[in-house]
Amino acid sequence: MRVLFSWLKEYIEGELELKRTAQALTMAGLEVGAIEEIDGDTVIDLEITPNRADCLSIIGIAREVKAIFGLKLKKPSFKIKQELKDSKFTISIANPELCYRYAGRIVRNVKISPSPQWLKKRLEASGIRSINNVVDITNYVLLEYGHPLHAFDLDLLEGAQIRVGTPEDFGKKTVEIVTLDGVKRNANSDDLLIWDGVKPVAIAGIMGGANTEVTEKTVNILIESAYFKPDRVRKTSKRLGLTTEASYRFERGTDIEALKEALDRAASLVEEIADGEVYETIDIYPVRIPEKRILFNMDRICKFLGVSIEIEEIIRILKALEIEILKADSDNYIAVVPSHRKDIEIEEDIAEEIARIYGYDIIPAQMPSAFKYVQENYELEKKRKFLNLIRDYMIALGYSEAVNFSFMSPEELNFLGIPEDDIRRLYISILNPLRQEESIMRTMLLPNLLKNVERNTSRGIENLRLFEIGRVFIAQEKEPLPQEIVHLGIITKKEEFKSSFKDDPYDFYALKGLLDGLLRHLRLYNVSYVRTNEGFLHPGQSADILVRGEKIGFVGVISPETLLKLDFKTKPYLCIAEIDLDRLFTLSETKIFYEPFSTYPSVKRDTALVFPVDFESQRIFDIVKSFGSELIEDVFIFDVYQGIGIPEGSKSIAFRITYRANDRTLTTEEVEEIHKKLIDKIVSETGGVVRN
Amino acid sequence: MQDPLKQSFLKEIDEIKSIQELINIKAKYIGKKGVVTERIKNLGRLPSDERRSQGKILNEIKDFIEETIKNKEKELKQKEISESLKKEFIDITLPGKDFYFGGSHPVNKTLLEIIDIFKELGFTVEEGPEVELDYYNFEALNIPKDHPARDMQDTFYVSEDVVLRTHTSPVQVRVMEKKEPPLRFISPGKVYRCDSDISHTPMFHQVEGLMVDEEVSFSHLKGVLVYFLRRLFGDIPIRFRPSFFPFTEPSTEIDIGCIICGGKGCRVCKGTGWLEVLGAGMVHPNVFKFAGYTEGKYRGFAFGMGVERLTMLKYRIDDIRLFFENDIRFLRQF
Repeated sequence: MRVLFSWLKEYIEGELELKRTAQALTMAGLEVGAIEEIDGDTVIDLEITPNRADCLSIIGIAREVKAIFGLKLKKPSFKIKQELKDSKFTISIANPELCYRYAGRIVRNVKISPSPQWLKKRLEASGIRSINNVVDITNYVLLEYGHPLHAFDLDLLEGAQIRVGTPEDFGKKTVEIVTLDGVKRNANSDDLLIWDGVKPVAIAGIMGGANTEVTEKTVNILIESAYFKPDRVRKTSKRLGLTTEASYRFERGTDIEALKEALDRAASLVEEIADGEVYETIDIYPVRIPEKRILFNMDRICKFLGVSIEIEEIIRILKALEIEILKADSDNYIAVVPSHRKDIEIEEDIAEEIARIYGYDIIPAQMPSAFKYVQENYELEKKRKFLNLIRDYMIALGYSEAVNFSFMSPEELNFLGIPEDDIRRLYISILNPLRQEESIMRTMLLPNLLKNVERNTSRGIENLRLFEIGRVFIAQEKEPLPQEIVHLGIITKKEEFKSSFKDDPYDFYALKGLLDGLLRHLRLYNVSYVRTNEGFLHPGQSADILVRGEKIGFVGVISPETLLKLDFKTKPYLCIAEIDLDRLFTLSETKIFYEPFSTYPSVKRDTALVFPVDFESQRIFDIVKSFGSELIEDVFIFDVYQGIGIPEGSKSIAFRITYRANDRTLTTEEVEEIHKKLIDKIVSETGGVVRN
Repeated sequence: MQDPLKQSFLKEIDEIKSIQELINIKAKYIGKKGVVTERIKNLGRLPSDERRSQGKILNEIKDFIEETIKNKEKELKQKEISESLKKEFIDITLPGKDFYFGGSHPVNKTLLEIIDIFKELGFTVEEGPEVELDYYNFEALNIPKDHPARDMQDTFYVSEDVVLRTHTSPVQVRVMEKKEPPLRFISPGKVYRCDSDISHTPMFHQVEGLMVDEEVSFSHLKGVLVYFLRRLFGDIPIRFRPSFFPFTEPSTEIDIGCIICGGKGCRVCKGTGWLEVLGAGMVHPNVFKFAGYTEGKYRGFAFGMGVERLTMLKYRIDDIRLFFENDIRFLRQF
C-alpha cells in the first residue's frame, strides 16, 4: 500500500514527522518497505499483512497513526448539496448469502472530463492510472476509505434496475461477460455477478463490464458501493486469474458499515468535480454482520504476554483503537470491536492489540525459569546420528556435500534406461512445475548429481568427488502421500588423473573400498557385490550391492553409451553409487558385544596362484570360508599381477592367510598342514596353479 | 714403549671401513686362533717369572684390543646409520597424498549449528514428510481454502489435497496429534515454494520450533529466540515487530541489526539497518483445537526461520542460487 505522506497528514490533528511515523508504523506491525520521494512529496510503501484489510486505505492508516501516537483522527468533511428522488430505478439482491448489502446512487448530467491536477497527482503517486473524473473519483475514494466503488453508465443499464446474483440464481449455467480490460470471460454458475434487467454488467467485487463502462459519452451514472462475501470474491478472482484493487480488498473483508459513507463521499466529489445532480441512496441491506463482543481477562492477558501492564494503560490502548470496553464482572471485561476490524475475534487478538501498541520491544525477554523434561524421539534421533555419521565419513574422505532440488524430469528415467516396472518409475508429478525438467519428485539422486558434474566440468573442474544425502519419493498405491526414502548418492569424476603417488582415489575400487569401509563400520558383514542390470552402468565395471541378499544400491562406472548422451566435451571417467540409507539403517547392527581375542602369536603364509584373467577373487574368500577352519583369522589379497612371468590370458593373485589359535601357540608343522590342505582345496576347486 | 703387536693392530684397525673387516681383525688377534690368544696359550712354556710379566702384558693388550674393537664397532655403526639416513632423505615439500577434507554444504552446516543451539535448551528434533497433505500444511494451521493468507506462499500442488510442504509447520500438528504437552522441539527440513528468481529458489530449508506447556508466555518466546540469535550471531541488536501468521496470535517478525553494515544502512538491509531473520508467535487456539487439545489448557509459541537466509548472512554469501549449483569451489570453502 502506497501512502502519500501529505495525504495521510490531512487526516491527523497535530504534527507528524516522517521518520518517526515510519518507524512507529513498522513497530506497530505495518512494515515500511520503502520511502520514496515523488514530485516533492513522500510516498511510504507499507506492507500490509492479509489480516489488516482495514489498513488498505489512507484513513485506515491514519487510524493506526492516531492510536500509536494518541492523536485525533480528522475524517474528510463533505456535504452533498442537494439530493433528488428517483422512484423508477430499483436494486434487488437475489443472493443475500453472497451479497450482504448493496447501495447505489444515481448521479445525472455529469460532465465527463479529465480529472483536476491534484486528483491525478494523488492517484498516480498511489500507483493508479488516471482515466476520467468519474472513474478517478471512485478510485480516489477506494484509496481514501478502502472501500471499492464502481460507476456504471446508467443509460446502458437496461430495465432501470440492478440485480445481484449468480447465473444459477437466474436460472443460467455459465455466462460470458467482457470485462473493462477488454477480455471475454466465462463466469461459472456460482460466480456472483451484477446484472441489469437483461444481462450481466459486472463481476461482483472484481471488475465491471465493458457493456456499461463510463466513457466520454456518458451523461448519467450509477455509483455502486456494496459488500460481497470475501471467500467467494477470492474464489472467482483466483479462477479467472484476475486480481484488482477492488478484489484485493473485498477478499480481505471490507467494512460493511462504512460503505455508505464512501458512497456519499464519492457522490459529493462527483457533484463538486463533474457537476452532477446527486440522487438519494438506494440501500438494500438484507444481512447484518453482528457486532463482535469479546470477553477478556486482564490478568490472563498479562500472563499470556508475560508482562504486567496497568489496567488504565490497557483501557487507554484499546480505546485508542476504537475498541469499546464494558465491564462484565469483577475480573472480566467485554471488548466491543469496531466493524472495520475483521481480524479481532478472540482474547488472543485483544492481547496482540495491546502488545503491539504497548510495544513488543518493551515486553521483557525471559527464559522460562525451568524447562520440563521432554522425551526425545529416540528412533529419529538414532537415525539422525546415523545420517550424520555417514555425512562426516564422506566429508572426511574428501567428498564434498551437494544439495540439489528434489525435482527431476521423467525424461531422465528414459535417458538412464530405467525399466518400465522399476519402482523408480513410480514417481509423483507436480501439477504446476516451474520448468518441465523439474516436473516430478525425484526417485533417485543420480540425475541431479550428474548435472552437478556437468556444471563443474563446464567450469573447468577436472576431478571432483561429490555426495548427497536426501530423500527420494516413491508413489504408493492407495496412499495419498509417497514413501520418502533417504538415499546416499555419490559421484566421482576424473579427466586424466595424475598423481605423484600411485593411489587413484577416483576409480571403481576407491569407491567400492569406501562403501566396504562404511558397511564394515555399520557392522554389516553379510555383504556381496554381484553384476548389475542397471542400464546406465558399465556392464564390466559395476555391481549391485546386496546386504543379506537384499539389494540396497549399486556402484559402478557410467557406461560409455550413457556418457555419450551427456554433455561432456572430453571423455571423463565417472564412478557413481546410490544407496538406500533407510534400508541400511534398518539392517545395521547397533548392539555391540565385546568379543575376546587371542593373545597367542599368529603365523602368516603367503601364496600366489595363477588364474585365467576373468577369475573373480570372491571365489578365494568363499572357499576359505567354506574350508571352515577356526584357526584362520584373516585372508588378505595383497597383489594382483599380469605381465612378464605370467602366461598370456592369466593373472596371478597373491594372498596372505593369517593363522592363530585362541588357546595356544601354533606349531609350524600344524600350520603347514592346514595351509597345504587349504591351497589344495582352492587349486582343485578353481583350477588355479601355484606360482613358484 | 709400544708392543709391536699392539702397533700392528692399531695400524690395521685404523684402515678398516666396514663391520666385516672389524670382525676379521677381531678374529685375527683375539679370536680362538688369534695371535694374542695363541701367545696367551703358549705362556705356559715360559719360565714362571717371565710368564707372569708377559702374561700381564698380553692380558693388557687383549683388554686394549677388545675395548678398541668395541669402540670401533660403535663408530662404524653410527657412520652406517648416518650414511643411510642421508640416502633416505625425501622431498618433504612435495604435497602429501590427497586426503583433503571434502566441503560440507553450508546450509547443512548452519542447520546442524541451529539444532545444537536448541538442544542446549532441551529442544528435541522431529521430522515430517516433504510431500504433505493440504490439511496439515494449511487447514490444521488455520489457513482454510479460499483464504487470502494462502497468497503468502506460492504452493506446488501434487493434487487438490496434496502439496509440497510450503513450510515445516505441518510437523507441529503431526506431533501435537500424537503427544500431549509439555512439548519442546524443532523440526528442520526442506520446504518448497513455486517461486524462482534472484532471491528465491523453489526449494529451501526451514527450521520450525514449538514450545507448548501450561504456562508459556510471549515473554518466553522472546527469551528463547534472543538466546538463539545471540548464540548464532553474537551480541547483536534484536527487535520484535508485530506481524501476521494465520497459525499464531500474537505474531511477530524478528529483525537483527544488519551485520553487514552494523545498522548504518546498506544494500543487503535495503537501507533500513535491519534484517528480518525469524517469524514467530503464540500458537493460535485454533491450532490447538485441530490438535485435539483441551480448550484453554495450553499456551505455546512457535517460530520458523529460513536456513539459507541465515547461512547467507553468516558467511556473507550474496546469491542464494550458489547453494544449489554445487560448484566444488563453493562447497570446499565450508
